[in-house]
Formats: sequence, structure tokens, C-alpha cells
Amino acid sequence: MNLLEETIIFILSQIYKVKKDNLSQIELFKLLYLIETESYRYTGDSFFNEEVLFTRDKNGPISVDVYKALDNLSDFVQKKERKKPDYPYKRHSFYIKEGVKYELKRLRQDQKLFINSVLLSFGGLAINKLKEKAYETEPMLDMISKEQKRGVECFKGASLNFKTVKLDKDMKEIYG
Amino acid sequence: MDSYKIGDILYFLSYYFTDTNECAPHYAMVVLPSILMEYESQILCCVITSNQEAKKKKYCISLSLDIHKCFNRETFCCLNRRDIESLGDLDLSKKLPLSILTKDELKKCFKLFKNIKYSSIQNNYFVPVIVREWKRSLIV
Repeated sequence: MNLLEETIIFILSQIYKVKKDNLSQIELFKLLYLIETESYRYTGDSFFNEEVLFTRDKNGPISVDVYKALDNLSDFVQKKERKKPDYPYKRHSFYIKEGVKYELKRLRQDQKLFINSVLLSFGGLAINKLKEKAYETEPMLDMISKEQKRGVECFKGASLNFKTVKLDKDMKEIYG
Repeated sequence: MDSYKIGDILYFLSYYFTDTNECAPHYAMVVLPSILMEYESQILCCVITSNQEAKKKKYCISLSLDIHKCFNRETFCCLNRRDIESLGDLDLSKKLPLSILTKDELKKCFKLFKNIKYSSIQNNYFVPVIVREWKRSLIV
């Protein structure tokens, strides 16, 4: 498993902490995107070693790498169609398969703490609120500003620029 | 599931000191709650000591005896001595938390914590998580 795949497994193993037992694809995309954004905010660097590309889609950030990772995780992750109270239609939702054993060799303890910190901040939010949080981040605001300047509704497929994320002022103080 | 929060003062029957590799009954303050840990039986704490040497140390803050009645002599919270402990080692014969740091004390701790010299920003999320969670806790 690569770092992204292990992160997905770890998130799904911890979502009970925000009183959920599965995540829809859109929730997963947004949470992974917020982990990357928060990593830039608190370390000035990528959580995924810049190996995961997030692009603009009509519903905010998505990533082809996440689709690929989910395909690779078919032995561990189960996909079911579920209707959630905060959305009118059924969506694909992801669970960890019951009784499946896995070992996370790449994720360090400090990275797990960071994922949980982001998960506890955003993981419990309803899909629309989670989407709003993603839209409030600098890479999305930067993209929207470019779209407005060009009079385009959505630069679908354009890469989101994480270098626009400002380092947290307290972290700046710590590391100079 | 426990609900100990940042700033709670706990007492462990066995506290494992990472820096000295020793173990002893000890007071500690919660730095990160167990919900953040992979296993919720763990908790990140920092050492609380009455050793007067701590008074001279840069990263120790004196705790008020008027507020924290669980102490009967000058006591210090050492922010640079952090350890992951097991909740199974807590002294449950005592009513825990024994005391809770005030918002002012937490603010002082946070200021001090920011002055600790950390090795590198790269590949270490411990400091970012502490900063992120403490800010959330101080704002709320």
C-alpha cells in the first residue's frame, strides 16, 4: 500500500470517532483534500509528498489518484450504495470490509495524529458543510478567482495550487 | 471512552518517562486527548514535577497552589518532557482529573511551548498537531 492508500484505510478505521460508519466518495475526497491543505498550513509541506494531484471539479476538489487508490484497495474496502440523510440521492459509500486484516507500514504515529486532528475538525460535518470548508481554502479561492477573471464557470480538471496556503502564524513563530 | 481534555491533571500509577527510560508513579498534564491517538487507550501527556530544579528550566511553568489543591508544594509543568502513556496506568482510586489548568495557565503553556526549539518542520507532525489542537482548545 502507498501512503494515500494507507491514509484512506486509516481514515475509514477512525471515522467512528465522528459517529459515522462509512464515508461517501465526496466526503473522502474532501477529507483527503483538507488533510493536504492543513498539512501545508501547519508544516508548509505536502502530506502526500506531492504524489496526489487534486483537481477542480464542479463539486470542488477531486483526485484521480484517489479513484486509483480505491480500486487498489478492493481487498480491504467495500463499496455500497447508501442514501445519507443530508443528500437526496443514493451515493457510493466506503467501509472497511468486516474481518479484514491490514498493516499500515508507511503511516507514522505523528501522521496518524495529524489525520485524526483533521478528521475530528471536519469529519463529522454533513456533506454540504464539508464542501463549504473545502471551498473556503486558499487553493479553491485562488481557482474561483481565476475562473471569475476569465468568465469561466468551472476550470474542470485544472490542478489546485497548494502553494497558495498560508503557513499558520504560530507555526511560523516556532520555525521562524 | 475517557474524556480527559487538554490541561487536565492526571495521576499515573506507572508513568513511563521517554527521556530517562524510567517508570514511576507520577502526575502529568494532558497535552493531547486520547481521541486523537490511533488507540484510544493512549494519551499524550507532559510531566508535572515538584522537583525544584524545574524552577530554573526554561520550558517549565509553575502551577498555582491556590488553584490546584491537589498539590501541597510548588509544582511545575514541564512542556518539553512529553510522553505517550497508557490510560490503563491511571490511578482510578482518585477522582480524575485532579485539577484543570486555567485558560491563563494554558495560554502561558502555549506561549512557552512555541519557544521550545524543535528540530525540523519536515516529516514531523507532533508539533503541528499540538499547535492545531491547542489553538482549537483555547479558542473554544
